[in-house]
Amino acid sequence: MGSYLLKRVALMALTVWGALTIMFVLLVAMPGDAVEAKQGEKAVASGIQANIRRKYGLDDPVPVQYAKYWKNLATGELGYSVKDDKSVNDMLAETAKTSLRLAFWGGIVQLFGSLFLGFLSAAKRNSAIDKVSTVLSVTAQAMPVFVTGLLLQVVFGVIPNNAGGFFNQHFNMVGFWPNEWWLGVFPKENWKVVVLPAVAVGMVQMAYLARLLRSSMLEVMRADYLRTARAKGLSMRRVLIKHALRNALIPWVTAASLAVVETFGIAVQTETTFGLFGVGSQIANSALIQDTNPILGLTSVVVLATAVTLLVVDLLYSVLDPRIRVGSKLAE
Amino acid sequence: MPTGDVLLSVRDLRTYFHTDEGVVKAVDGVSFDVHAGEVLGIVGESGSGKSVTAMSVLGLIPVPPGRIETGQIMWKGQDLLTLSDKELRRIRGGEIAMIFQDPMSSLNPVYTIGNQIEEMIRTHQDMSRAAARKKSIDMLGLVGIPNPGDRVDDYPHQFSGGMRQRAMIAMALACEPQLLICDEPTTALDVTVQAQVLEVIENSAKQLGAAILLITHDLGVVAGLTDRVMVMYGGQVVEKAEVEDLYYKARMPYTWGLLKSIPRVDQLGGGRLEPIPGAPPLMSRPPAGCRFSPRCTYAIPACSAAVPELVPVGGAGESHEARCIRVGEAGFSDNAPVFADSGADSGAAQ
Amino acid sequence: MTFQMHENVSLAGDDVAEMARLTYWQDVRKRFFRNKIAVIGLVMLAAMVLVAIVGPFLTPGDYKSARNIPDLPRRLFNEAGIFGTDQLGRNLWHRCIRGIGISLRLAVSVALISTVVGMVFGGLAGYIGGWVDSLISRIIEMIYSIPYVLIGIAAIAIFGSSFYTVMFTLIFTGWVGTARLFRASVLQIRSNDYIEAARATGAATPRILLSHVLPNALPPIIVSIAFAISGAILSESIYSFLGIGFIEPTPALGVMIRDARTQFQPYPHLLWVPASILIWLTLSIVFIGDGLRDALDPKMRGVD
Repeated sequence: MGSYLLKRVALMALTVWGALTIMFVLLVAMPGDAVEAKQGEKAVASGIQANIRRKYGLDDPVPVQYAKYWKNLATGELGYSVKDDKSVNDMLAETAKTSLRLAFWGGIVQLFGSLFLGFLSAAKRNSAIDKVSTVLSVTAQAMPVFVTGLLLQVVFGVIPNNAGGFFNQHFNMVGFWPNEWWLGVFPKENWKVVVLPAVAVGMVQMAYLARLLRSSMLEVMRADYLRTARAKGLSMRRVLIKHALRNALIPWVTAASLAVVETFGIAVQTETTFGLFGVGSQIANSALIQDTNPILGLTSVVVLATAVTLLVVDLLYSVLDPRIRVGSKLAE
Repeated sequence: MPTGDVLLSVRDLRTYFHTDEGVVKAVDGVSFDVHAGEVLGIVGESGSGKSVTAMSVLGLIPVPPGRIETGQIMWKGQDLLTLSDKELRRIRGGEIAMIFQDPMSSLNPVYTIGNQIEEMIRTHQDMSRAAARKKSIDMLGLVGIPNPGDRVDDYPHQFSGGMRQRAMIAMALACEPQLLICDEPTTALDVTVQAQVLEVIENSAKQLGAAILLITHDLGVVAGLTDRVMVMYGGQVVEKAEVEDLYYKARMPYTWGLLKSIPRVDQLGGGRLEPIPGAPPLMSRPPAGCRFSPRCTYAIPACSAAVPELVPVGGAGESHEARCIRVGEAGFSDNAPVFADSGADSGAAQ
Repeated sequence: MTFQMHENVSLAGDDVAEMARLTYWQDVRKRFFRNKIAVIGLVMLAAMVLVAIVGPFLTPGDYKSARNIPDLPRRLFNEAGIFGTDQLGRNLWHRCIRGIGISLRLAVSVALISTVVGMVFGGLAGYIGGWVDSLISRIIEMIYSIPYVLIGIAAIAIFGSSFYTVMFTLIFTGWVGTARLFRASVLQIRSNDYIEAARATGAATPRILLSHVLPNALPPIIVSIAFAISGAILSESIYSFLGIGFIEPTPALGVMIRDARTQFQPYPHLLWVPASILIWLTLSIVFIGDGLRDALDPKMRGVD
């Protein structure tokens, strides 16, 4: 188990290094820089431009910049933004809260929603809940998140607002996020405004994971050991939960861990649609003006956070499946 | 002749599957009895309906596409087909237990062997976890697992095929059922462990007084273990007899075909195996008349006119029945394969 | 709550599907065309393909530059056409026709190329194994962990916004999914006995791959191509929506949706028209993909 863990951590480090290096190369290869982009706002003399470049280390040779980048990461000081001379650490602190809240609630929608829908639609195949879950999953696969987000805002914001009175009071779920949160993720007042962004973030993966759980449940339900469980005289509920769901969860966990990676892209769209400003929006904004430090710093944090999540899921996986625990080939 | 009381009495069972390609009559009018303590064998090729018969008894036919159309399954005087799901569950595992063909896939890979046996015990008996665990260890010992106290915490993938099948037997017998249904219990195992596993089934079932319904395609397995044999073909019973009578006085051409296809070490010279020509019928479009007639060497036009009845064929005191219109013809049974030495042990090569 | 076992629980010795058999591909075709939703998807897609091919010939003229024609009322069914004119006075219907064409051309090329690339790398990783597998798997993971927003921005900054930039960006991020999938199925198939048998008879590796591995790994790949097409259509719209795909005045559906957002309050139809067309397109392909998946799944044979 110890050497297995070590191997996983080493592989994770390798992946993170590779991803960050590819990213760095992409950024270096981009023509122009933030100073040029800033010029769009007001003309800056070329001497001053050179000064600015020197100040932010943009005129260093590429290997020096690369070394500096890793030094920054190692020390946790992510440098300064050229655009508004702000510390990237501060930018992270400001935007990470929003992103974490979005990820937390989106994750809850995603995981619990898919468990609930996937299990029930397999257990009660062809029932109303199965059909609802099919429609949901097809819609989620066919609609871009930003369109879903806009649609949700129209149905639960614009329409009740226009209807006014009672409807506006009870069904309008669009608004600014509260300032006060318990434990960072539980809104102290007006929790309603969290619902729509969470649904928008979580729905795509929820639908996908629910379908996946459904089909892996249906597959497990054909397994010989399910027949054994039924022949033992267990109730259907126990057969489905203890024997079928437990095994069907194994592929679900893999898929859910991959879904974590995709969530970032979905979060950016959701943030844009709902006017929230999280890490994703910050990266997109900085990227459009090629402000290297925030892009590198913030994306590195995202890549690292993703890798750690994947590692945790990987370990969880070996708890779920005893065949992997002994360190068999299946672990690869 | 069987001596014990009738435990299970199946009458005119018809289990059909409604599929895209039409109605598959997997079991089409099967009747038989199982007496307390006896061993009844059901023999047939795959697709003959023998497993569906067993699954019907336990109420494990998937609905849809399957459906038990008609029939009675009397278990100790009550019709299982009329019981509620809850009452049926009490019987399943508690009074009638079943073990399956492939021990590799019949145990749940994510729970320990002990956990799975304990679950069986605690479902049917009011027992503490500790007591159930102790009983699981005892059962594993009974079926010949070495160091049962340690192996009880192993996962199925840590067991070999033979040991898994033993564990399945231990689980099936854990609640002292009166009937143990074994569906091809040795087919998926190495030849070397097949005999051992059969022995374990026989000995442990005897020790606990359970009757056995043994389903197999292997007449060799049947010979060593059973008291009576029922041969199935195309969803119907085609011959039913005491095991000795079936081997030496078989009356139905299909049974002859099966007998001729057993590899025998005792046969002199030219002991070539003769496979039955052709393939089992498509049960969505069964042949007209006798279902075996298209493959039967002895078929006459009348064979495909109507399904023959299952008729008594033996002498007085014999419970021998066969389904063949030519069974009454003089000299017809001379076509039966002749076994060179008619020693009682000849078929017992397991 | 009561549960029912609706599934085709295998019945040990008696395989019910065996009792009534059809060849695999006959069965697949039959089940696909009996699936109403899949057929609806096929019809929906055919309509779109027809519009994309024939449409441009029927609607010649400039659909890119802003018009100085006297401002027509911005609503559905004005003098210009059924969808009226957009915020720059251009015929929205004409732009949508081109948008459908762009989406389809882009998505089909992306799906096919990334499937081929993914199959080559996934197949090599799965079949050769060893260090080749480790290398390819690491590269897949690395690409997977870079936020695609960043890849899109870098690509557009380096190469400029064009059809091919968007195409290559989508291929760059798209092939890894197929590679993962194909690697897994090759690994699984490779362990089967018949591959061992083919190897034992001395068949060459490429031959084994082509005649044994490929046909068996094909069903999931066919399904994944369908979903790759709908995925690419969605991705294009997302890239364009975030400003890192196509840009004005290209009439891509994502661009139209992005530009309509600022006009949403007075003129919601400017957004809903291209958004609905986009959903129509993706929905039709998802319907087909779902139908294919159900039809190709050998485990669903003989079961409704």
